[in-house]
Amino acid sequence: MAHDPSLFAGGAALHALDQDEDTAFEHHLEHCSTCQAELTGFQETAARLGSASAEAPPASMRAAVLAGIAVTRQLPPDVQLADPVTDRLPAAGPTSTDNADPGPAHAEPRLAEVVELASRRRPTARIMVAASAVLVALVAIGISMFGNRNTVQSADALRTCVESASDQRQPAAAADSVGSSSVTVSASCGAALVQLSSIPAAPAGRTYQLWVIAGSEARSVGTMTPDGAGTMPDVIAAVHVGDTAIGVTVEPAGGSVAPTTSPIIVVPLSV
Amino acid sequence: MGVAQLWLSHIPHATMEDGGVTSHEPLPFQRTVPRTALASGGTADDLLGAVALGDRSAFEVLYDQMAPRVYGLVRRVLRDPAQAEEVGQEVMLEVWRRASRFDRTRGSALSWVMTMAHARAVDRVRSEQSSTDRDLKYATTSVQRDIDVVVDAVEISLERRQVQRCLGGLTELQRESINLAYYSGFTQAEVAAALKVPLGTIKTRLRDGLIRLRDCLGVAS
Repeated sequence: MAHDPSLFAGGAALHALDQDEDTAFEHHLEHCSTCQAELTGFQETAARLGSASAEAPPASMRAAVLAGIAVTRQLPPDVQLADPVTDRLPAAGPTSTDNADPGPAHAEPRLAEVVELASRRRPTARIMVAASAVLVALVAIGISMFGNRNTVQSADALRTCVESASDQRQPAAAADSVGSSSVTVSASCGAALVQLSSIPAAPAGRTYQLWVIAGSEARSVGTMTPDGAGTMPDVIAAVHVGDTAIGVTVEPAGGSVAPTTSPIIVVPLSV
Repeated sequence: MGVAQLWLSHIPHATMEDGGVTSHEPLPFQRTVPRTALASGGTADDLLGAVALGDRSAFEVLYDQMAPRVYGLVRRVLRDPAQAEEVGQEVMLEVWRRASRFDRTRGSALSWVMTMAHARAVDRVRSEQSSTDRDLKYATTSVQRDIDVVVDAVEISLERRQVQRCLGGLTELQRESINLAYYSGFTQAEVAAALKVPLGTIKTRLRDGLIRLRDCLGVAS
């Protein structure tokens, strides 16, 4: 191409380069950090243009995608592998194009990449998987009884555990808490059964939200709605070392990431 | 001690023995993370990080945040809702599959997902047109309609209004070039042919137009 590739960032961000131009630009990018920065900015800009066309996708698309991820293996992270002979990564690997242009033109190389990586998974990758499993176990897990079927099963198991645990305790709610609270905690189960009653209906546009507190950190367990008699659905919440209280706040409908109001119920987990 | 004080106080000693929860459930509590709160800020980046670790609940939240944008863009480019749904599915599955490859030093999660969506849509356009010669006359007449669609769609949200305002700040040639390239999936050469302008001019207009848009939208460059 006779044209200066430094002008190509615009066309590249809009996927408007033909193949020759695309190749020329990729080579050019390797030693043009300002072009890479410009491309990144243009891609962000294009993403805004694209977002301006947002419209509700059909529900069938959501169902298909969620069914799809259940049977789709994820690619392991790109790791800079130490041994260049045994660890040949495809050229399309950790280069700038991987993030910038994961386009369908690379569909076949990507497939090959999957097979290749899967067939010689590195110890590092295994460690990372193990690490993520540990992370899953360590991250606060609040299991509510109003989730999907799997969740309900887990919650049932935890509930049985709590109810039959020899180390179960029933800490009292703080004196000025709303309604009547029964919290049963079992350290050996790592869970608390939360039963709340005599709760007035939440104001319009508001919902109750249950939290597990560790010091100044609050983890959402879920939003809750009392039935006509003011009884909340029973909830099983995972609790861990360092958790200090279980609490309920009134939040905008849909819930909040962190509590936005003072709690109406607090049950300290201290003995 | 009042409830609020209790809430805020740090209880210094651990009050639970290690319960050692070993559930392999994908963090079910994340299902309750409110969507509205995730529409802003860098949260999509964090969600994508969780998705990279196989967190399906985080993916669901991310899906609800991204899918309307992905589907809307793909449908804009392809026009046909059935094809758009198909490509939209592919893109969202690809987000799941490639989540570990997202590198937040190279841009936002939104940009990563939308770049992928646009690439897929454009690829579909090009693979279709490789069998049939594109009628550039039709393309030329569609320019005006594309722009009108942008104008009409603007009412919906602040984001759209902002994009529209910024598109309005471009020269006509910049705007038409970007519309044809981005929303119709034309190559630079096709844009040049459609607008009967030299290719070199189109390249500069695309770049100048994007610089102006980027600055107008306040995108960090």
